[in-house]
Amino acid sequence: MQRIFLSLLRGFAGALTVLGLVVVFAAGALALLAPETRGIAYAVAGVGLLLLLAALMGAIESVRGFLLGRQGRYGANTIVMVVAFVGIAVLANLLVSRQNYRIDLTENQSRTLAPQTVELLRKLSQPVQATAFVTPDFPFEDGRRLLALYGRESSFFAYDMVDPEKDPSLVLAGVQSGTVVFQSGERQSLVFTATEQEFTSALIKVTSTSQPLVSFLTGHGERDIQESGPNGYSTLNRGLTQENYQVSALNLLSAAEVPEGTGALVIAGPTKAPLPSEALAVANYLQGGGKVLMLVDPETSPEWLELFQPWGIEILPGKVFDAGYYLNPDQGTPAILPDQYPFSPITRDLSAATFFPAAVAFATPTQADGTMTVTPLLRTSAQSWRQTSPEQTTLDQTPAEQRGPLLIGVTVEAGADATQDEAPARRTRLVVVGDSDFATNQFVTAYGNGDLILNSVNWLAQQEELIGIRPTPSSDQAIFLTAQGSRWVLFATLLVLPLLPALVGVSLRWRRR
Amino acid sequence: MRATLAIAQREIGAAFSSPSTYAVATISLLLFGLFFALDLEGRRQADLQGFFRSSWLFVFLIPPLTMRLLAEEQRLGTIELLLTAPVRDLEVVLGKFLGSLGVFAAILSPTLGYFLLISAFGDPEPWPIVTGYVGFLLLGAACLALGLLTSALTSSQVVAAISSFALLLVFWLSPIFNQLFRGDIGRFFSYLSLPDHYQELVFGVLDAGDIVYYVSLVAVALFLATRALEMRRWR
Repeated sequence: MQRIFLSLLRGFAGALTVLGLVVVFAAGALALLAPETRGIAYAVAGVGLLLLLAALMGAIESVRGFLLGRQGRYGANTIVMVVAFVGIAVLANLLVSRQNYRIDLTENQSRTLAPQTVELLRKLSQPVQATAFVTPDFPFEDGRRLLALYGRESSFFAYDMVDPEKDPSLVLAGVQSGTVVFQSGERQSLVFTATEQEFTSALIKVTSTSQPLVSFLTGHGERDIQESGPNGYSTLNRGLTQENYQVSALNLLSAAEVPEGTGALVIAGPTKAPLPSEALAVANYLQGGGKVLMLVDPETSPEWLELFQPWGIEILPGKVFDAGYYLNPDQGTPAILPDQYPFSPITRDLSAATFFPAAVAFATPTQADGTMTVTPLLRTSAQSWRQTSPEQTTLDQTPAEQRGPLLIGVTVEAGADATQDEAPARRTRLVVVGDSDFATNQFVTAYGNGDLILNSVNWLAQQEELIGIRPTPSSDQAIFLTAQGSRWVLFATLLVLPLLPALVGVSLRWRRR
Repeated sequence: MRATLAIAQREIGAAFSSPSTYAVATISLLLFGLFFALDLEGRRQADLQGFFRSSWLFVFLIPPLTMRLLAEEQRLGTIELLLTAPVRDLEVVLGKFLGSLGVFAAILSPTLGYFLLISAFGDPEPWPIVTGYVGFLLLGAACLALGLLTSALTSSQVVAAISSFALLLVFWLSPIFNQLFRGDIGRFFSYLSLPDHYQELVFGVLDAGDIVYYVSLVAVALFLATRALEMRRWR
């Protein structure tokens, strides 16, 4: 019986082999195309393996002869060498791909993560998962590249790519292609634009242990954070929210004092005087280690300016004009170029110019006592002046004491031991800028204006790691191509260069004849 | 090493004696030039992105260059002469590879004219162009090595060309498998993608991972081609 069975197997060994391979392949295809039937696929694969085993039993003599013969030995040796070589190649790739050995040779390092992002990733101490929902045809090269770079910097950062159209639950939830979800623990943040700025903001939002409060004072004609018109501050509001701040309006009439836990208080261009109780509340807040951003305009009432005199701030009369650097064509909108910024953590990484419509200047700071550090922040050019009367339309018509360079931005830092390494939260920080228009909706997105005010808030709230995380623009290499130039390009690329090898080939053939 | 260089030199000579090489060169430069010109007209940027991004043409242009490397020798019977000569199989494979790489570099050399053109109209950043060419050559070398492998496995040039085309297509489109397999398996298939490791080089970034990828792919393909040749000895 056994002999008959074995001879049957011997006779059908070829057919059993083919059938077994087809069945195993079909099982693999089933598992791939219908993952929910994986159990059945395994069973089918098992059947295929049994068929192959039966084929092996039938052809055991031939197989033994092959394996023990010369071809078998060489074949086995080759298989071992191939597996070893491929294994070494795979290992080399695994080892190198996990490291970050790269050199960015672009002019402005546009393909490298910002130092602040790198620092943030290296400080990660909790797992963060980023899931990118992208369909195969969705352009997501930048996103993929960024996620890979983030993953290289931190072993706590993992990412995955999912096709939202393949999962019915995602389709029902309305998840759009291009959405990236950052998750850490219970916290989640959605990103719709694949930029480093957005990714890092999301990373901060899901890992930050706190959401600092930025309060905008109201009730005295200040800029409105809800207003979306040209003079409103709604764009700044959105920018701060993206930087993981909680933004709210504060009315000191209803709240007797600046709330505990306020990361920064912004007083943006008040036109009416504060009540004594309000002034006292702000003064007490400052004395107690508060953080204030004061934006002053020519219309700002003097009572506000008196609040900051104890901190070495003295506003000078007149509006600032600058014939050296200004927003063309208005010399009454002085501009400050990147190489003009005095050294400050706020402007340290600011690589764009800023401009200030209708600015006022401050007197050279005098340090009230040794516990306070007053630092220039923004300074106009030597061709600037303070206009205190309508006749002073040029530098030459202005008295020398009103000429530039003029200080239009100042920072103050003070505490019991301001020069020692005291816990930052107890030290007073003050940023005073002689203009509030630069941060309005119509100007805040221009040049470096937005960065300046966000950096100022970050410095006040001690969010230094956020300073400078802004998109690095690729260097602009625009060319000017005339119609004649276009013709030359087409002539060279479509005629001259392709004909070169053709001509060489023809001439060689001709010479051979 | 001497034998390798001699074989490479012979291979270059043979390639430039063949009309098909000039046909491939002319068509390649025409297509590269078209993509370069279209991109320059469209984006008006002084860079070679349009040219570098046309690397997908390798899938069609490399197989004709590699199909005859070893397949023809096998068809004509000259492979036996080559294998019985005092030359190791590895030297034969390396020589053929270096020869085809030399031909490939020669075909590419007129594209340096694109750099002259954009320099005449703008101010290009030099380093991204240098790294772009490095990437182009590495990518080309990897495609040539894969083509050489398919040529070693058959004596038919047509089969070698079609197999080479199919193999290059699989490596080019491997990220699609990331959609079928999630997690580590999907990332493995994505990693195999030929053009993905080229992206950073085109933008001016030298990444050790990308260079190791191409070098190891060339090494594995040439190793397998050598083993395929060796199989003839004991078949």
